[in-house]
Amino acid sequence: MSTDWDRRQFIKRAVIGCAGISTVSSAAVIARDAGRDAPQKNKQVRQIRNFQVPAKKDKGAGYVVVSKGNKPDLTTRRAIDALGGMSQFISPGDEVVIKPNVGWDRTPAQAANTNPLVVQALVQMCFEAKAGKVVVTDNTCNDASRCFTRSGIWKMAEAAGAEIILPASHRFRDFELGGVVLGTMPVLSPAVSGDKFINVPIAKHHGLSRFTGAMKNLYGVLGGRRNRLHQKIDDSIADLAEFIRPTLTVMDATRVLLHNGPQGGNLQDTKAVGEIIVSTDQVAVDTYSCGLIGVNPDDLPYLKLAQARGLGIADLKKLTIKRVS
Amino acid sequence: MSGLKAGPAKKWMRLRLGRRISQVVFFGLFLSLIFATESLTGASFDAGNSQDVPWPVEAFLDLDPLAMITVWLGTFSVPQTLLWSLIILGSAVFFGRAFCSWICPMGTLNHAFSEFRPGLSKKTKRRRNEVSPARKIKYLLLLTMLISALFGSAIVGIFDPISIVTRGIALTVLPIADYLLSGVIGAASDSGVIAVQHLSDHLYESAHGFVVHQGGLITVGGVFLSLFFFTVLIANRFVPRLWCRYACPLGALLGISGRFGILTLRKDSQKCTHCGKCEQYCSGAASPVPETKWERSECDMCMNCVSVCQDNALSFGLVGWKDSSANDGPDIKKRQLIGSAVTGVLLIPVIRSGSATSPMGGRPDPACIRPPGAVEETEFLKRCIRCGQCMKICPNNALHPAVDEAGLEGLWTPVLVPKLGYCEPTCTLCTQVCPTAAIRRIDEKQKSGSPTGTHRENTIRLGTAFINRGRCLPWAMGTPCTVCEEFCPASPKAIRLEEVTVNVYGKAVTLLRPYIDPAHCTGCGACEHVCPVHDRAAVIITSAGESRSEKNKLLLQ
Repeated sequence: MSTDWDRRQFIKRAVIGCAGISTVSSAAVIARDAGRDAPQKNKQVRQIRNFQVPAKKDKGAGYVVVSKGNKPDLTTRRAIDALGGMSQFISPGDEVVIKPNVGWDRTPAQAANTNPLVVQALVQMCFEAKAGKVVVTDNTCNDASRCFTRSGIWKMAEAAGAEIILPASHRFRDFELGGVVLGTMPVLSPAVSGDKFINVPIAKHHGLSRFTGAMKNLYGVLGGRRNRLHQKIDDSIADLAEFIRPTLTVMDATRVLLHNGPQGGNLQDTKAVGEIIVSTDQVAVDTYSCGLIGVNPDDLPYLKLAQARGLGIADLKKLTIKRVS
Repeated sequence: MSGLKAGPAKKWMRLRLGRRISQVVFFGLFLSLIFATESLTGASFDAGNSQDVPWPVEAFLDLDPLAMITVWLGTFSVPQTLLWSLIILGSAVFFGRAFCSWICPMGTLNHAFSEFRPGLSKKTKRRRNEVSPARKIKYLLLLTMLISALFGSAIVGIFDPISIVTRGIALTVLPIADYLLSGVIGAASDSGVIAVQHLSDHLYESAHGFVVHQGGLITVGGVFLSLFFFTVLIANRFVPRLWCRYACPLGALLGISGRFGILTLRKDSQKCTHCGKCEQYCSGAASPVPETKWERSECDMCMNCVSVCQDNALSFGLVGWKDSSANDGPDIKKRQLIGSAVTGVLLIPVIRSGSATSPMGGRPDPACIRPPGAVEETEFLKRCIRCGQCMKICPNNALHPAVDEAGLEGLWTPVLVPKLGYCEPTCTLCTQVCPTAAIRRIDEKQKSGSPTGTHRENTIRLGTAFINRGRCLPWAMGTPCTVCEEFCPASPKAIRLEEVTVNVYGKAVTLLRPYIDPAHCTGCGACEHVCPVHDRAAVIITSAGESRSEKNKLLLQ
């Protein structure tokens, strides 16, 4: 290779080279900014995610099915069937997002995460209702791959045909939640991109909010600095419940966490209850379920806030509870 | 070409090919073992899987005789797995430094980085491969390091080639790869083109859990480590295999062991036409030219000289051939030996002064938080060869190479940096991969995350959490926050909340204030990691109360 350019040639080539590089990079920057501009245009628009479907046999807000049994999968099935069956809610070809609580690096017996059998049963029922795709995802607190593995949810859900999506920085998008305290927040995009959304929390004690269930489980779709939300926890939870209106809420109370929540760690903190609570009204699910760990729903301000915003029924006396076993 | 009698014998060319294949295979194996630590989670594992590392990911370090001798000199005991290194030491007795150019992954990298200099003249290539007096350095370094080992320091790990290459790949190359990859994937996700986003998402999925080091942060300690590693690699462009020839203490050890090797380079000066090719390709600078003395302890048996000799003047054979004439080692002056020995004696006391392990009564460093299962600090420094395996396997990216947290001597030893990651309560991975037992294998039950959870006498503590009430939101600012308590994995919690009603600008506010319960705190660092006071957390971990230390005890009882 000859490198004996004279000065003129060198300058000429350098100029052409620089021009080429800057053209390509400005094109890249323009392309990138074009992508970034899109959400900003909608800045004023609240990006609400309402996954609710008008059920054919609508039982309305406040209607809760409580199914009791020893086998988490069968109990789940009975609960859904009593509500009218999965095909009431899932249309053929739907992409269904299942959002269990996979927050912690804990085993199923420790009752810090949703029971994997409940998740598996739901995945199966979605496919039986001819769902096109089922995604199971959560932005965990501990390392995501460990949480999904050790909770048993990765294995159980994937065995039933679901796709596991772990949180990763490129999977978050800024959403305008437009809540009382929650403004623009990064949201785990695959969690809210489906056609239907099934929230599958577990009933647990929580030091600050006292009870963590369905509405608080929606924290798991947020990214970024979500550890600031605790400063106004009741408003935050109500904002989240307003941001996502799940198609279905399936509360896992097969085993609940009574103390040292939300991650427990000690078997003595847990109690076998054997219940699955199902409703289209997430507020009603929490209103019923908090009693299972000995919390009075009247002591949970976020339930009242949610009811005031028309998200569901927070009054235990106004709930219609159907029990099956 | 074919038909001509002259030309190198096929046998040697086959052996050279064998050497190249061996380098590729062993380097591939080395990389696979590094990557293997990324695939300990997934759909194939049952719930509550105890996370045993199914592969001997530290195998190359187990084969390292230098690590074995260092630990033995320091502790007069040898971990069982390190006995594998006797294979390498034993083979050196027969084949000299063949390990260096057949197996050693650092050697392979140096070899590769030395290659491809088409611009150099034959003469220059020969000159670069001449025997240099600088080859002495490695023997002197080895002597200093062995004496340091006797004085209780495995500081040799800084120079040990297997350590260099393991931490170099695991703590430098992979995080950089992760950084670049996330840049590409991030840009692709921002592109707004769905097809591009899907493609990048799949790329991420296949790279994650295989190549990419989770988190991939490089700390200040990591930057020095990185500079050192790349300097070793780039040095090859100036002198081929510079590190191996002049600095490598393991090479020196194997060279000495190969002194009475059974193989020798036979030189037939009658056939030699002085073309100089043998020296041009000699990877060890071991003087292969006939009529010169072969440097037995420099030769790494790369088989280049015998493969390129057109005159059939060179061959390897058993010792005893009449033509064999070899140098057993460089001419090291007595005062140079004494100098290295004295350096070895002085090195450790000098660099320990002021640190926790100082014989003059040093105090523990608050930031010297060791991995769970780490032995007591003086014992730890006798063993830790800074290979980086524990830091690589940590799922939370919590362990990082120290800068001065453990004193100057502790450079690149592992410390927990809670700001970057915390110790996962149920994880014992780092304790399974330590080749020198600086971190002892522990059971999940010895940590706070056991199924029964409750604190016991023998629970391992890394340190203790302290709340800085001047920075804590409920303490200093009348603002509700319980994130540290929420994340505390101990059961019962080591962070207790007490309800108080305080007056904030004339308004009564009810708050939960956190208190540390030192009896239950294991120092895992989760609280510090998640504290919303993001720059300098309002709750921090220091090494006080670490269970491995008598000196650093906190509570009476």
